[in-house]
Amino acid sequence: MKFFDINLYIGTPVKPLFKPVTSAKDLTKMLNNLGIEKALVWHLTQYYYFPSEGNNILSKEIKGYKNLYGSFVILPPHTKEMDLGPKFFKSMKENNIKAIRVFPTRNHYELNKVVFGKFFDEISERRIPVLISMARENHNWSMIYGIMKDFPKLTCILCDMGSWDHTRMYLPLMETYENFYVETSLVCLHEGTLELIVKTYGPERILFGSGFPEIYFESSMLQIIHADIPESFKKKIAYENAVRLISRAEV
Amino acid sequence: MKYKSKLIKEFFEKGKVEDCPIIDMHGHMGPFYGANYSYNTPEKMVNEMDRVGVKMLVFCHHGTLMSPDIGNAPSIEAVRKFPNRLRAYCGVNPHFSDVVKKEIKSFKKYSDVYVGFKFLPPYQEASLLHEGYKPVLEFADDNELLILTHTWGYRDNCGPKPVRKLLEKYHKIKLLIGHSFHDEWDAAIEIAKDFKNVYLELTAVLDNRGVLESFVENVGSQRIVFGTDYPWFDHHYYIGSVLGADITDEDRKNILYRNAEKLLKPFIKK
Repeated sequence: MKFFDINLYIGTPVKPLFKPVTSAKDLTKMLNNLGIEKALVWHLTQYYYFPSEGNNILSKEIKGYKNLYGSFVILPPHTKEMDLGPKFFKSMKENNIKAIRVFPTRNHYELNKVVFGKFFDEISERRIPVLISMARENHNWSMIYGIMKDFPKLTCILCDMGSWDHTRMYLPLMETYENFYVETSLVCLHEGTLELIVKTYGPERILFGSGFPEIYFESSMLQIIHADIPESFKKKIAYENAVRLISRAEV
Repeated sequence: MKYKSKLIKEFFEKGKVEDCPIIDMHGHMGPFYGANYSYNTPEKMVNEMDRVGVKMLVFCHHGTLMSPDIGNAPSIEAVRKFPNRLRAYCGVNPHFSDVVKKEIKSFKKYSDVYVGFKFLPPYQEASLLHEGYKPVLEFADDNELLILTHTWGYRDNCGPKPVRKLLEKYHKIKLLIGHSFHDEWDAAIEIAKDFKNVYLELTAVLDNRGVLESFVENVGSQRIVFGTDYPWFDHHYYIGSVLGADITDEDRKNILYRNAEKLLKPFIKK
């Protein structure tokens, strides 16, 4: 089975518990050994240091690796620390960046229409995915409900869902918004959840993500391979849905 | 995929491995106020255990632990329905000393059901050092029973400090450190080194890459037991973590079933 991992990072955390992967070269080697054909990556400097600097470091790191796509981290445009105009999209295109990540808690801003109105309208139209790490946002569900209400066409992918089951929180969002997706690194942790989502909403809006290097690749992979769902659904979750989403993003 | 070992290859290709059955030492049953669990009845749970290759689950029913009105009856009923697949921890709430006394008195009547006791101090608004646990600990120590206790790092009521105090007094119980003092991993290693009647349990540990390798390196794989909080967490997900960890197949087998088999031996008649 082919895999496309949409949730992993390169870089060294300030307090490493695990062995980090610090280069695209090493990451590609690991992915090849595991049969993971493609990946949508980000870099820890985007989070721990500063988004713009981190975006540059990520771009340089993945340059030349056709199997790796990047995610840019954004800041509100008002402080002039980051230009979210045409130059931003040009840079995305030049650097094989296919998605956006937001860390509002870490970067100290509100994720809503007041802050990102024009920009989120544009990325909704361009169908550029926005990835939000629920664990890093302290499971701020009001924020997620708010942003989806403000931008109902936004392609939003929730990642790192958390160790507790959150189906009561995110299934209503799947029901309501057609471009609302969930990633597997912690969704797969929960017994029967993949089966429940697939049964109710089909397999199209679940995307394989490992959560590596904080989580083992093999955790979600083994769960998906042996989930109690049809083989064709597994292929969509493991690979095909991510390919579709990345291909349709107009950067 | 380039498989690093025979066991990894077998699990990925078949989903379950005949000569590596899974024994899950930390389970529950029934619905739960704070989360949705798809497989929470004895029938659904055993059916899923068949599908993923879990030979035995040792559990304590959510109802027993969360509501004093329910007691251990649902656990007893489930084990007697599936005697080859389930065993239970007798759940106790230290605030109800009369009930605790009754549970101890009737423990031997349920020797086909129980392997020991389950403590869940923070959910019952108690500390592990609550006086109400004392008769249970004494009984368990006299009879060399298993105790699975919920623990978490940096907590006064269920962290390393109260656990160390108990272990200094009770040497014959087999204490399973549920969640291995989550986040305070070094303390789990220290306690396991200091007390040979301690076993590190892996629920909520295995979605933290690197911890298992550290436990195996510092404590050895003979004192680590597999658990999932089932029906909370998925067996294949956690098995995948054990396969992904940088340890040997022998370590993996110790963790996935051999250690549990030894612990359960006195309680399971052939």
